[in-house]
Amino acid sequence: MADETIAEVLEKRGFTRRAFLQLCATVTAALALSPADAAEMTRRLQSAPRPTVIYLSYQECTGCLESLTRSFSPGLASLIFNDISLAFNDTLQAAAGEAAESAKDTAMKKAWGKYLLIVDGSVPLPQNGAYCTVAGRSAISDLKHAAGGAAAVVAVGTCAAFGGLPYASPNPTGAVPVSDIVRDRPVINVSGCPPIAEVITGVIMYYTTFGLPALDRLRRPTNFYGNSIHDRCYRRPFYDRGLFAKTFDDEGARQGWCLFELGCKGPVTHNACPTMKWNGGTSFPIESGHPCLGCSEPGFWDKGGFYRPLSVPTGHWSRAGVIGGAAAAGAVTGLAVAAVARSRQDRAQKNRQSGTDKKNPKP
Amino acid sequence: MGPSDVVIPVYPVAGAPSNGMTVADALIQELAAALVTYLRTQRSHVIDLTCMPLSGEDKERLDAYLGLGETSMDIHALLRTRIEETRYAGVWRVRHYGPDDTVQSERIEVIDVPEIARASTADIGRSAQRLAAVKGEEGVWQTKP
Ligand code: SF4
Ligand code: SF4
Repeated sequence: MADETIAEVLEKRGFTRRAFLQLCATVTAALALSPADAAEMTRRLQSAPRPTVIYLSYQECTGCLESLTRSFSPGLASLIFNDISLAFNDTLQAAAGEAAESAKDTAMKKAWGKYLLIVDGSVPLPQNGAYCTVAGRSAISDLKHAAGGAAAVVAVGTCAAFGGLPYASPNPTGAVPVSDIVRDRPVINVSGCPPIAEVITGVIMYYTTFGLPALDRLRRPTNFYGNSIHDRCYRRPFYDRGLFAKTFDDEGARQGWCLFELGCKGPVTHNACPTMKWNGGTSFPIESGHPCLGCSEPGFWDKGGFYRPLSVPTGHWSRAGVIGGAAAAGAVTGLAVAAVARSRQDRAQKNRQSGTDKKNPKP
Repeated sequence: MGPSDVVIPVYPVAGAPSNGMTVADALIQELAAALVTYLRTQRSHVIDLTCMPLSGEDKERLDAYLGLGETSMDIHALLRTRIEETRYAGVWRVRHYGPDDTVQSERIEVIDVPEIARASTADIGRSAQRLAAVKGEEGVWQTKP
């Protein structure tokens, strides 16, 4: 049934409207929508048809899909993804071979022009795309065909968004990101290696309700990628006071001091890790004592070393983030943090007002 | 709705002298304004705490301010939801928990009864049908043709 709504899907599974409200509350919280926008989203989701998602994988490690489906079961992310929106995914389905290919064709035909195409993995260009083929078809021709019927394309993971690991030097297969191939459809980059599950589902839900979210210059939704890790890191007060761990087992490390000198890329990395966290909100890498690798930024594999501090000039990272961070004086108080939190809501609201109909708007 | 009925969320300014004001104090002011507005216009107000990085101290302060009122409710639907009235009638804390008991969403609502606690008309309609069907099967409650 093409026009079934999300509320109807839940109802069929025996839930009341309360389940729908619970779903809305958690999704709008993850999106950091203002109260007015959250109410509006709930109102619209009430009648919006469930999204149709076609999920295709090329040069990738399946980590993104693992992030999505193993996040916490039977969590909301998997509910939104598996039960509500997914129409085709070759990794998760039971069918194989020709049955799988025809299932894909059927799913695409049924929602041609309307589906949300999720792609993970990069796409190799040389030798007519021979380095990555699915069912005898090159990734590049498969992607071009699938994008033809998509309303928008979501490049999930740093491989699809920026090339990622396959693209890393020396890029033996000539891999490129999705946005190099899909040029006539809006492309939303949900980067991260892997991205946070709730960010992926949040983008699906946002798209279903409001259309295209506002994107930064790297086409990432600003709702999730608007702040740097450093902006919202709970170790920031130590950074501001100049208290740094120098090794992984020194006194500073034990005291939970800032990991900047151990190579933390938080100041130049935009992602939602400090607020949304990982594994159902358990913690995030810095909370576990490891510096941020910068996994949601282009080319992070080749940027001078994961454990080399940003202050060591390698010419790989922009200086702006580093200097901006170091210039921020004084300890971050709770008030400042609250202001940041509210500014995120503000931005989410502005995004909704300005960014819904535009094609890949620039900030 | 006149401008005076709009509850203006509190935006603490980074770097400004805090005068000992904490985030919890600011939120309490926002709630006080929201209650007055609710009385006048029946306009409900929601503060979503989920993504607000409150310090442990802020949380304690907020808990201490709001306390616990007379009413609490548990909802077992898709998620588990705990609703608690604070010691201020009309100010509710609504928390949604994931399957592993982690808080998925936490908000303060200013309203007479949080919307999620009400049975929706559609659900009541389905209940009526279901109940009629059960009675019909048992032959206890046949309606005359
Ligand atoms: S440098 Fe890294 S650990 Fe230090 S405050 Fe910034 S993000 Fe946190
Ligand atoms: S902390 Fe940094 S490297 Fe780690 S997942 Fe988040 S953005 Fe990626």
